[in-house]
Amino acid sequence: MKKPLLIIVAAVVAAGLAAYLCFAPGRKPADFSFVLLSEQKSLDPAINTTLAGGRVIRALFEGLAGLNPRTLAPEPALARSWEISPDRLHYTFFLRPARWSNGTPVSAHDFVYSWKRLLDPLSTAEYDYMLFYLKNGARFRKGQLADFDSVGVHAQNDSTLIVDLEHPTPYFLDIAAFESLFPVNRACVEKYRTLWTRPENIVCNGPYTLTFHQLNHKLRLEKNPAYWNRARVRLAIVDAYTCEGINTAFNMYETGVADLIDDFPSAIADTLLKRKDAMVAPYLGTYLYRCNMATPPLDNPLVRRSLEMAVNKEEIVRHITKGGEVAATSFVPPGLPGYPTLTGVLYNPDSARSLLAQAGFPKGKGFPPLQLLYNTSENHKKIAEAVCYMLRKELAISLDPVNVEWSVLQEKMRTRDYQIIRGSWIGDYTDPNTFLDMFVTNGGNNQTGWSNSAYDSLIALAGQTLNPAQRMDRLAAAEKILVAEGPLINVYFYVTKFLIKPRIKGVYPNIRGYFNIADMYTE
Amino acid sequence: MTAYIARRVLLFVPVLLCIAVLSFFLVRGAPGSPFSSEKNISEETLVALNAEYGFDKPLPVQLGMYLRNLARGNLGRSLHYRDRTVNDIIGQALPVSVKLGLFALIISLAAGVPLGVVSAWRSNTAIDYAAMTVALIGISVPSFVLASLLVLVFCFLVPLFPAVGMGGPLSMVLPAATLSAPFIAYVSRITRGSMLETLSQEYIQTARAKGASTVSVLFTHGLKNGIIPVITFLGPATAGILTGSVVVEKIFAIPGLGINFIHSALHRDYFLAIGCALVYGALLMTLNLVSDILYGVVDPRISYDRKK
Amino acid sequence: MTGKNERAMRSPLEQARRRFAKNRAALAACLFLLLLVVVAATSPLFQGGLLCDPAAQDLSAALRPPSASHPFGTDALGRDVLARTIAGARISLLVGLLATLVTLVIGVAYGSIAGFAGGAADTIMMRAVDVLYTLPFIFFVILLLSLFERSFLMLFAALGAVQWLTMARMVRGQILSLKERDFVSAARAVGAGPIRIVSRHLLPNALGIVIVYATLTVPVIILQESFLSFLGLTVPGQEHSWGTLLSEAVECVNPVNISWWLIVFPGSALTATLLALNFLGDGLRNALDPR
Repeated sequence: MKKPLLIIVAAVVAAGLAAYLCFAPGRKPADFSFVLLSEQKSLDPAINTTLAGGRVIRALFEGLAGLNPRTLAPEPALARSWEISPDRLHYTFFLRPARWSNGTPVSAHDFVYSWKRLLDPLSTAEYDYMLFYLKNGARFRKGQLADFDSVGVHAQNDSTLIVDLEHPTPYFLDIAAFESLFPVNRACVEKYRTLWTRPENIVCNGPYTLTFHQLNHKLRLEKNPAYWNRARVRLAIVDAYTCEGINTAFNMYETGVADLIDDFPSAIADTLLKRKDAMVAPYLGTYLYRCNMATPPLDNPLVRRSLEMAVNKEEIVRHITKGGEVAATSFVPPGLPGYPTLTGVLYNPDSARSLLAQAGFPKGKGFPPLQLLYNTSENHKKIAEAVCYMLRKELAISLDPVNVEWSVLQEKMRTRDYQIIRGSWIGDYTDPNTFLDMFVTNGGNNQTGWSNSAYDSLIALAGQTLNPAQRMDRLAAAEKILVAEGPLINVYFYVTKFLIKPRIKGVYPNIRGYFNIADMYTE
Repeated sequence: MTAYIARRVLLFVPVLLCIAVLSFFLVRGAPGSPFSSEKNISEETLVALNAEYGFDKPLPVQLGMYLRNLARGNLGRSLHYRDRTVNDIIGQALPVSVKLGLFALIISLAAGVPLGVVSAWRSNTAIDYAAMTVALIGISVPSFVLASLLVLVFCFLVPLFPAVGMGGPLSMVLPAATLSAPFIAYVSRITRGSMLETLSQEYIQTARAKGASTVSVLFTHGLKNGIIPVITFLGPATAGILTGSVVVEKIFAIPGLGINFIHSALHRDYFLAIGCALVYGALLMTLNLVSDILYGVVDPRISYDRKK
Repeated sequence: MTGKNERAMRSPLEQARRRFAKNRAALAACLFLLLLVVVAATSPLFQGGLLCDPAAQDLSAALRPPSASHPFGTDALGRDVLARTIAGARISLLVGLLATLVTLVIGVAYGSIAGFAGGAADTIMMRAVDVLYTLPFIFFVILLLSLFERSFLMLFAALGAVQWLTMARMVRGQILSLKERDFVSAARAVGAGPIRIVSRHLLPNALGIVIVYATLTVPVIILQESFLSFLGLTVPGQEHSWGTLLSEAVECVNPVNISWWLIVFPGSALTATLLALNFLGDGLRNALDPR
C-alpha cells in the first residue's frame, strides 16, 4: 500500500525537478532587444507584409537603396550609385562588391532572379504590385506575357542592373528601398524551398544573420561577418521578442527585458508621452471608416459628410487614443515633403444635422439602422463604441458597433458585405500617391464601390506629370474631391510611438517609424 | 492490465479521427480566408496560394489528402507561417506548455493537498472555513484578473519575478501560480472530503489510540486512502490546466500550444488549428488513461482485467 | 417523547430545510444572490434617476476615480462603472442561468434515458459520454466562437454543451439506484408507462442532486464566459458582461497608472457572486445529503 504512493510522490517530484531544470536557456544576453507585436508570417522579403517584419528583413537583407533614417531620402546601399535617364524611365544601378553569408558574391543576376520570383505568375507574394512599375511587370504577372526578358529588369553584367519603368515614377528609388524588392539567394531558396528562411538554412546579404527563431517567442540576429560594411554594425547581438498584447510588451520594457517598444498602452499613453524615453512623431497612416456605396443611404454624399461631421475626432484622439494622434479632417497625413495638408471636414454637429435633413432624414427620421464593423481589439472597440454613441446622440440615428475577427473583416471588406467598416491605410512610400491612387474606380484597395471620373483623370494625369510641384497640385486637387465626396470617414492620423531606453541611440523620429537596426548603437 | 491499456489506446484512433474530421469541416466552413491581408491581395496571388496548398481541389479530396498525410504523422503546413510545418510548430510549442502545465500541477498538489488535510483535521472550525474560503476564491477569480494583479504586485511593487515567461526558472513562477489557483481549490476540496471520510474510519482511530503522532496519522495513514480521489481528479485537472494555459500564455507571452491554437483560429490557419485540436485530444486521452492506471495502482480494489 | 416523535415524522425535505437554515454561509449567499437578482432585474427602472445610463459616454470624464456622482468611478469612455457593473450582472447571470438550463435539459434527458433504459443502450450511451469527456471541448467552443459570427444562442449552446456531460452522469447514477426501489415497482405494477415513471417518480426524487449540480454549474459557466471575453470572444450587442468589463479593465492595469476601480468593483461583484453560488451549492448538497 505504502510503496506505490511513495513511488508516485517521487515520480512527481523528479518530473518537477526535471521540468524546472529544463527551463534555463543559457544564451548570451543581447546588446539590444525590441518587441514585435505579432509573429511574422515569414521573413522572406517577398512574402512579408508588415512594418515590423520589414525592420527584421532590413537587418537580414540589403537592397539596391536604403532610406536615410532621419530624412527618409533614398541612399545608396548595395548599389553604390545609379543613373537615371532624362525621361525618368531608365535606371542603371551600379552594384558594389558584396557577399552572401555563405561566401558567394551578390550580383545583379540575384536581383533579376528575386524580382522574377516576385512577379512569377505562380508567386504567392502579396506585394507583387510593387514591381508593376517595371515595364511589362503587371503583364508578366498576369500571364499575358510569357517571356521575362520583356520585363524591365536586366543584368548588364554582374555589377550593373538595368531597370526600365512603365511610367516615370518619381518615387521609384523609394520603391527600390522597399523590402519586397530585396534580393534573395537563389541557391538557398531552390535548395530549401519554403523552409529557406529558417535559421539553419537562411543565406542573407544584410548586416545580420538569423541564428535563432522560436515562434511566438523570439528571434535572434547576430552580426553577419560576410557583410561588406561590417564597421557600420555596432550591436553584435539583437533579440526581437514576439509578444502580443501591448500591456505585456510594456511590462517587458519596464522590467528591462526589451529596450524598445513601438506602441503605448492607450490607457496611459498621455502619461507616457511626457516621459523622456518616449519618441513620438507624426506617422504616414490614417485611421478611418469606409462607407459602402451600395448601401443606401450611404450612397448619398450628404449623408456621408453628415456622419463625418458629427464625429468629434478631437475627443477621440484626446481621450481614447491619447498618444498624440492628430484628428483627421482629410485623408493624406501631414508631413509629406511638397504636399499641402488639406483642411477638410470639421466637427460641426449642427451642419451635420442640417445635411442629414437635406438628405431627407430630418432629425434622423426614416434613417435605417446601420452597423459599423470593427475587428477585435480593445482600441478599435473603444473608438467604434464612441463613434456610434456620438452619431446616435447627435443625429438620432441607430448605429451599432459590431465586432468580427480580423480575417472576417478583411473578407467582408473584399466582398463589400458591410455598411460601415473600420480600416486604415499606411503609406508604402513617402509620396501622397500611395494614399490617393487607391480610390480610383475599381482600384484594388478601393473596396467601397466609389467612383469619380474627375478624380480618376486627376490621378492619371498626375502619374504622367514630371514637374514635381504641378504633380503635387494635381494630387491635392484629387484629394479635395475625395474628401468632399468620397466614401471615407477619416478619424485620425497615426503617430509613431516609441519607448526607447536612453542608452540606445540611432533611432530618429520620421513619418514612417523607419529605423535600421544596423545604424543603432549604445552609449 | 496490459490488455486494458491496449484496449484504451486502441480507442484513441477512432476518437482522434473524429476530432480530425470534425475540426476539418469546422475550420473549412468558417467565413474568412487564411490568405487575407490588410491590403488587397491580387487575384493572381490568391490563385497561386490556393494552388500551393491544394485548396483548388474539392473539399472531400482535400480531406482525403489531409487524412492520408495524418496517417503518416504529417500534420500539414501552416498557412500563416509560411516557413513552418504544423509538426515543427507543435514540436516547439508543446514542450513549453507541458512544462508550464506540469509546474502548475505540482503547485496545485503541493498547496492543495496540505490545505485539504488541515481543513479535514480541524473540520468545522475557523481554520477549516478560512482555508476553504481561500480555496474557493481560487475558483472565483478569473485567471486573467489574477494574472494582472500578480504581475502588478510581484513584478512592480515587490520586484521578485519577471513579468514575462520563458526567461528562466523564475519566470515560470507567476504563470504557473496563476494557472494553478483554481486547481489548488479543487484539490483541497477533494482532499478535505475524502480525508473526512478516511479519518472517521476505524484504522485511523486505532492508529490514534496507539499513540501515532498527528502528522503521521494525517499524512501517512490518512492520506494513503484520502489521496485516491485526488488522483482520479488529475485527468480532468490536466484538461483544465490545458484550457487555462491559453489565457496565461497570452498574458505572459509564453510560446506554448495555447497561443498557437488561438492564433490558428484567428488566422484561419486550418491545419494548425486541426493539429492543435488533435494534440489536445491525444493529451487529454493519455492523461485520463494515466490517471485511471494510477487509480488502479493506489487502490488495489480496482482490477482492470475483470469486466468493470 | 413527543419531541422525538415529531422529529421522526418530519419529511426528508423538512429535515433538509432545517439543515440548510442552520448553514449561515449558505443563507447569507442565498440572500446576497436574491438581492443581486432583484437589483439587476429592476435596475433599468432607475436608469436616468438614481442610476446613470450604463451606455452614456462622457469622454472628457474618462477614467475618473470614484466620486459622489460616479460612486464606482468611470471607465475609459467615461461610462459610469456602477451602472455598468449592475448591467453586467444582468448579462452574466443571464448567460450563467440560460447555459445551465441548456446543460440541464440535455444532461437530464440523456442521463435519465440511459439510466432508465439500462442494458446495452446504457452502456453505449455512457461509453459515448466517456469518449466525449476526452474531447477538448472548450477548444471546440473557442474554435466555434472565433470562426463563426457570434450570437447569444451560440454562446449558450456552446457553454452548455461542454457542461452537460457531468450532469448526464449524475442523473444516470441517480436513476439507476432509484429505479430498483419499491415505489417504482409499485408504479410499474399499476401500469405506468416509462415516460410517466421517469417524469413522475424518478426525476422528482433525483431533483435534489440535479439542483445542487445546477447551482454549481452556474459559476463555472460565468467564469468560462469571462474567460472567453478575455480572448475577445464576447457576447455580441451593446450590453456587456462582467467578463467584458474585467477584460477591458485588465487593459488599464499597468505599473504607471492603476485605475483600480475598474477592476476592483466588477471583480468583487463577480467573485462575490461566484463565491455565493458555490456556498449555496455546497449548502444545498449538505442539506440534501448530510453524509
